[in-house]
Amino acid sequence: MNHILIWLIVSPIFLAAVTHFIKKYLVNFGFLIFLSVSIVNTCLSLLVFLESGSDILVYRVGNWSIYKGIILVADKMSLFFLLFMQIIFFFSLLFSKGYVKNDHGTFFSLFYLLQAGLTGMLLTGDLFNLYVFLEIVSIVAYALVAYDKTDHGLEAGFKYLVLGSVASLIILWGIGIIYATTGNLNLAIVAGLMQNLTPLIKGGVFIFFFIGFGIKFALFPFHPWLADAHASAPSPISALLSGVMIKIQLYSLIRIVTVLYGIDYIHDLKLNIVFMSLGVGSVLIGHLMALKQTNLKRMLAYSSIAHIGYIVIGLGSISPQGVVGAFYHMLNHGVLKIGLFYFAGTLIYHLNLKQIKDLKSLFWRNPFLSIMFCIFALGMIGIPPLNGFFSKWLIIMGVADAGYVIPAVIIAIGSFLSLIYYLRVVVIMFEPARKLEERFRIDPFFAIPIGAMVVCSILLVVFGSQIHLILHEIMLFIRDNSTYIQAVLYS
Amino acid sequence: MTLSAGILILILSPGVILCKKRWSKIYPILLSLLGLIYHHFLSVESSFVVKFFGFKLNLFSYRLSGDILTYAFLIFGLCVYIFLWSKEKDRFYYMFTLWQVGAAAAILFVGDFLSFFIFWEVISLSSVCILFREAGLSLTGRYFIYQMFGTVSLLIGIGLNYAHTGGMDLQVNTGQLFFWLAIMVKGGVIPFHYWLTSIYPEIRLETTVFLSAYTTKVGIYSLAILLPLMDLQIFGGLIAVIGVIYALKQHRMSRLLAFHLISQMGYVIASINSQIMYGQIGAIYHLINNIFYKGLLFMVAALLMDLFQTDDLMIIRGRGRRYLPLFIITLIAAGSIVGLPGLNGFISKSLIKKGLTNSLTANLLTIAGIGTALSFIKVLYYGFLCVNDQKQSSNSLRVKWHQYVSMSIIGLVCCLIGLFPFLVISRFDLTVNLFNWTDLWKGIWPIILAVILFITCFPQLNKLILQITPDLEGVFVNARRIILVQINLGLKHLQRLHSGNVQHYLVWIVLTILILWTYIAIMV
Repeated sequence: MNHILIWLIVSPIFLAAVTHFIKKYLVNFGFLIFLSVSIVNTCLSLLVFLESGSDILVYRVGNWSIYKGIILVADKMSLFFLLFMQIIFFFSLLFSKGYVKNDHGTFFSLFYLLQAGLTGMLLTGDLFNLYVFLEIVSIVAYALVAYDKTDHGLEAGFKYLVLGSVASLIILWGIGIIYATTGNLNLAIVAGLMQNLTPLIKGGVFIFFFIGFGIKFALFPFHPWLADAHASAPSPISALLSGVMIKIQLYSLIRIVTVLYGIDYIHDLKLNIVFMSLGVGSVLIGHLMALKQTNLKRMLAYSSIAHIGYIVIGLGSISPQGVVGAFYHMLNHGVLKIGLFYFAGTLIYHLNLKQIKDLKSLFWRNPFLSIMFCIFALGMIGIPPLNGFFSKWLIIMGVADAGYVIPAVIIAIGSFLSLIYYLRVVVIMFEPARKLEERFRIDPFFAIPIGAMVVCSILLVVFGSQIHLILHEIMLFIRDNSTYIQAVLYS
Repeated sequence: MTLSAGILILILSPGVILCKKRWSKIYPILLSLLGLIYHHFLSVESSFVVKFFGFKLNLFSYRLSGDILTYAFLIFGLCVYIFLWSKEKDRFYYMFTLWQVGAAAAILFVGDFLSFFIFWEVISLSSVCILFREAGLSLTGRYFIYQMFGTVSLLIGIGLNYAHTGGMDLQVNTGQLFFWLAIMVKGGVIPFHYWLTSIYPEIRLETTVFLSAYTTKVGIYSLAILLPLMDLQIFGGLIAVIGVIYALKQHRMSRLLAFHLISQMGYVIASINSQIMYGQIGAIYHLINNIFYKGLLFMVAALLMDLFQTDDLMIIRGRGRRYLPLFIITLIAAGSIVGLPGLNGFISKSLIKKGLTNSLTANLLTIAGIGTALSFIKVLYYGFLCVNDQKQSSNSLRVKWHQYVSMSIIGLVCCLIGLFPFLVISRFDLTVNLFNWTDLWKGIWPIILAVILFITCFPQLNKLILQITPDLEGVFVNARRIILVQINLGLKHLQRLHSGNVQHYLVWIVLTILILWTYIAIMV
């Protein structure tokens, strides 16, 4: 079963390499091939997730020793996020098929490279490969942001490139210091050698990782690139960047911190205050900036910054409910925000509508889209019984339970702020039509992914208790890094 | 494991979507009836606890006051659906109103904060859906924002409480201010009433019947559940007086009734947390009465609107005199609200006054009682009794039989629990005789005084009230404008910081690194 792990990374890389060939010579079957691989990968991810139980799978590439070679490690946390990512990529593939026209292979090539990079980030067990996959993801993301080759897109891509490169450099410094002091980059091995680092250097490395990944997942005050990048990228990519990519970058930070440092380090140095402060800043800045936006995708992008703040606050609380709530919110926000970006993309594709004011009377032209937007928006605001409510509830209770009252209050206020900007869109959308508006139909390639995201958000509530159990196990697992370390060392 | 009647209604409510036109009207009636029968046979010892997201949801925890209020909610719901029989309402309207009835009945028995929060939000959400179809976007948006303000306050309160106790049991130990704020906003209590008085006049009156019976009542009932130790006697008394003063200024039935709704809630607030049993029971009794007589009055207003295309008493000017049954029903409802002996309002108001320990509140409630009587004498006079000199066009519209049936049932309930209070009181193991000369006189004299004032100096009194009362809504509008301007300025400043200059962003990163490094250097 371990071989499945390498397949999940290699298959998208292979597809990325042959996309041009498929587009050129297998015009009629090209998409079927893409779809088949995507379905197979999703099923394999599900299989591994179900079969592995609470075991940790370790795959030594080329059967090299863990001290020298590349290893892939799959535990419950990485497999859970892997499954989530595969499902999202499957629907994004459908949406991209509808959205991207006249592509000769470049888009799907980048699409698959992004998938490969993110899978690698989830499964890698050493810092070197983490950095390699992170760079693959980053470079592909810069290219995809500027894919439309518009002035805005190129400018956003350039800004993202500058800040993203700074982030990569900072992470590289951290990795470099670790290698210089421990002589190894395998997470499990390095974890045992961390005591070789002086407290100040250990703290410095933590800062490098925290800030480097913080820039990557757009934590306040490193967030400004996100609004430009997500607003300028093609909508299926905006959805992936906002719904999956920033979450996996946050996942990488969680993995590094929990394995190398352990939860006690955060607790002893009171670093939760840092998490909380920057999380609160993200919530406030994200929501307040979203209030002023006139471009729909920019508004959604700023909202993503706010929701990253919720997640960081939940994680920073280190309370069981806060951490579980944060993980659950990663899924919920992912599903809902992807749905919202699909919505924005559908409007751009069919009507070239980008500004909020352009959505006037949309309900009378396409009720399906408008109602879908309302469901996603209500979920984002956190209105029960939609999924967004339950994760926010868990975070608030967890954070309050840990004694951080102000962040809990800010999260609640954040919901109020988000109501205002989403309501503004709804009001415009449902404005009575002055003249008989022409209705428009949307392709199944757009309708199916949007409908699927609604179904996913309902399923996240219906199976809430089961998901809660899984996330609780993950939370217990990351609180104790010895299980991970032993599984790798004795593999 | 037993479901409450409210949850049963909520579960079955989507069924109305599947019904064909006529059945979509019958379905809510049958469902209310089913809920009523189901609730009647529900065992007191039953409970319903499920585990959800790591929390225990206590969906059925028996409360006597909740039990009695459920009867009121369901009987009233049944009557409203009969009242709506001839109205053109689609299936979604019925589904949303069923959510309102179901969630209101369900919340009365919940035993934990999460369930409480969810059901309260279902009530708010169903109100938003109903309003969206009736009142337009602007008003619905305003309503939603007000409700969300209450929701956020409640959420903060629950969070603080959870931080303090580590449990979700419906017991407030800290953060009382936030719970109070949430209840006041959601209950539409002065000074958080703006949504209520600005929205009720703008929507169809039959919809107001729903909103007045469930949304605000659940809000006020929550006081007894969440803040049982908070002494609100004087606050309640003041609300009763202020509400009635503003009601006296109105000549549109919808606005007048909206302010009376606030005023009557003042009675409940004054006594719901009373340490004397009379007061507590009086408050619950008054809440039940209010559901019936206020609902009945809104039904009358809806009919006047249908008949005369206005609810402005100064335009109607006695044209209702041709509808004798309607006049009798209005008389019963008005008699109930002013506390006329023999009708239900008299019982609850007498109990409330017996439960008061503060003489100032007693005086305030007496003043409010006089004002209420004066206001409803005005309604009866200008609606049904005064002689209209203008030539009247013949009106072919008639009140429908089912509307009379529905209003008669409610009127009958008002009389029944007014004449035989033991039907309700005995359930609380309390025996009291309110039909003695002292209590009867206490109930009658404010009405007599109001009649005298109406006959002798009502125009002068009205003029005086208009002069001395500030325009509360104007204050709200101005305050809102000032706040919005300031927020806008702040947001513009924030936007300037996000100018797109990459150099600035790099400086932020370097500064953060330095600050964090300093922090870690200190901590290690």
